[in-house]
Amino acid sequence: MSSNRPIKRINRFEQERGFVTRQGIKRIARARDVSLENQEFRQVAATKRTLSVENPADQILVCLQAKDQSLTTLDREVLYVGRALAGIDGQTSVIAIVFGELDSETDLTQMGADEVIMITDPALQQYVPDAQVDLLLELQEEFQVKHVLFPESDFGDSDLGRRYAVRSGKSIATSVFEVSETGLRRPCVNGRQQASSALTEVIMLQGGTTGTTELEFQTEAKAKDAPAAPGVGQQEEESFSLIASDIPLVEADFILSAGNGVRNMDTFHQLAEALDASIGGSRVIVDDGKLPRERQVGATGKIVNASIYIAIGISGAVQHLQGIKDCRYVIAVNTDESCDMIKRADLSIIADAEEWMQAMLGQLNQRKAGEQA
Amino acid sequence: MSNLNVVVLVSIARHDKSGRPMLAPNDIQALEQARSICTVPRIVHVGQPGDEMVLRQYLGLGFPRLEVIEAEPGQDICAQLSAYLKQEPADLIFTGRQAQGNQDTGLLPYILADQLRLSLVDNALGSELKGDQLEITQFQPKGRRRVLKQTLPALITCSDKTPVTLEYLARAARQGELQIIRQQGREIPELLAETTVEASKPGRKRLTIKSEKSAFDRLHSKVAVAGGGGQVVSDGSADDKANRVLDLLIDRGALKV
Repeated sequence: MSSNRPIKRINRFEQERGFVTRQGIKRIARARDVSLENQEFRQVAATKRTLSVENPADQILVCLQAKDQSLTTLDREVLYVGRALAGIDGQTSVIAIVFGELDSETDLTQMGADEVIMITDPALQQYVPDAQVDLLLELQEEFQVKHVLFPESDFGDSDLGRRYAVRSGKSIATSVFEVSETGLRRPCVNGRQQASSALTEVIMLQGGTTGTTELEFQTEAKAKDAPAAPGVGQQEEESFSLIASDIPLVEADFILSAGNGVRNMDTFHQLAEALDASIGGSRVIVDDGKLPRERQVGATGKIVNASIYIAIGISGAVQHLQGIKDCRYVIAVNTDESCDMIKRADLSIIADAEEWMQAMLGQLNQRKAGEQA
Repeated sequence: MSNLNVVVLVSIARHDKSGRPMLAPNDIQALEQARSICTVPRIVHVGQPGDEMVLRQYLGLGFPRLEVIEAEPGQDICAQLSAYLKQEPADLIFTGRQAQGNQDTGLLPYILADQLRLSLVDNALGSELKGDQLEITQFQPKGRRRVLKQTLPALITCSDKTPVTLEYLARAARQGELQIIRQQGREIPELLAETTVEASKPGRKRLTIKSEKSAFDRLHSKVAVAGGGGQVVSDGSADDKANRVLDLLIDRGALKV
């Protein structure tokens, strides 16, 4: 009697259906059986489909400034928003216009640009925003421009975007913090109110309009010739940098940071001075009174944005890692090879902090002496 | 001190918490920079009547007179200003970068410079007169500064990082003169898109491209990317390890030896 009833199936995952990550964590694959698939993780990440756009009806221009030959997180976000607004149906293409040169690590195919116009004329790297606008006005003639996107930044983007909008007479929305296909929102009355409107022709984006900059596909990023720059002469201008100790931590480009592993702060200060680096510290060091509070790096301190960040004797608490998420190149010096900072770092030195700092000072002096001789 | 005709454009800000009208911090910085060029700059404000108490606070920073161009709500401030400044031209105009109590677009200096055919320098930290040229120190991020030479006339927007030394005196605020100017107003042109304004509320929707992959694939690719970790140097003498880092710093241009 009971044999006619179908046997109730119990869903159980077999051991083989899981897979082991590179860190050695076991994970269960619920969606499909991956036990027989090739587990080369790096390859999985690398095989993205390529999106190619043929004969697009219109274009979205994204204007960026290269900063130290790279692009900031905000620039990547703006490119992502451009891609999202253009869609992936091939109707609209994204054209990145980059003032300045980019290094080989910056890969625009991973950021959603269909075409790239690099403007590398050294005359335009000076403060000549009006000439840059002339160039943009000339460029836009070639395209059916749907939107022009700029980041809001002190690197000259905010200035350029506003000049361009006023000169071209296009509608503009500035400091935009929320954008979608249907409209955008921006703050007004000192942030007490929000203005929403339809998408404008020129859109200037603050950080945080998108949560991610990772694309599931890659684009072609075909290089396109830049138009000849309008005749710009040598400008009477010069640039200089403040000395490292005068630069506020959030602005600093090269930071030497101390953690609990640093026993001798004198050596640390000597090294920072010798390298002309700004000084930062973890929470422990600041709590101990060895550095002032404004030098604390991390979620409760300052979120820093350095090109090079050297973490000496910092194990890398989550809060600290949050503080350095925008740093480009992280060097960790630590005795413990298994700590979190070393997982984050691009280069890790397994050594005692004091010993390594002394060696740095010694080698630096030797090099300076060698230079003079 | 020179006898240049220097104009500072000031606005009224709203306090971000209480909503009360107050001095715009960025405009005080513009006043500070104008003061370093000329002892008695002209101060010009365009706005609705009725904010006398706040405008007098600008006078309290040590200025004898403030010119107030009256404008009804909905009238174009840029047009009012450019009409007035065409009548009474200035050699040098200082303003803040962005209002903090109105539309806050930061477009006014650009529109004004366009209408008056002035060259504009943005984000100035300070300026100094050298002969008939102005030497402007411009703010740049990452501790960098740029020094520019600018011929006059020019419009300069002041960085919000300009150090301020002006002090408030109640007597100056009482004794100063508010000079009311009435001129024909103009309607706002359609450069700004049509907007609806509402009270600010926290949170925002972030724009993302809709994923084509399954949840499993997304997890899989996250795990794959998270692998990471850079090079680890554990062998060698202390000097080798130091040299490794020094070479890298020189390579990346952080260190010049």
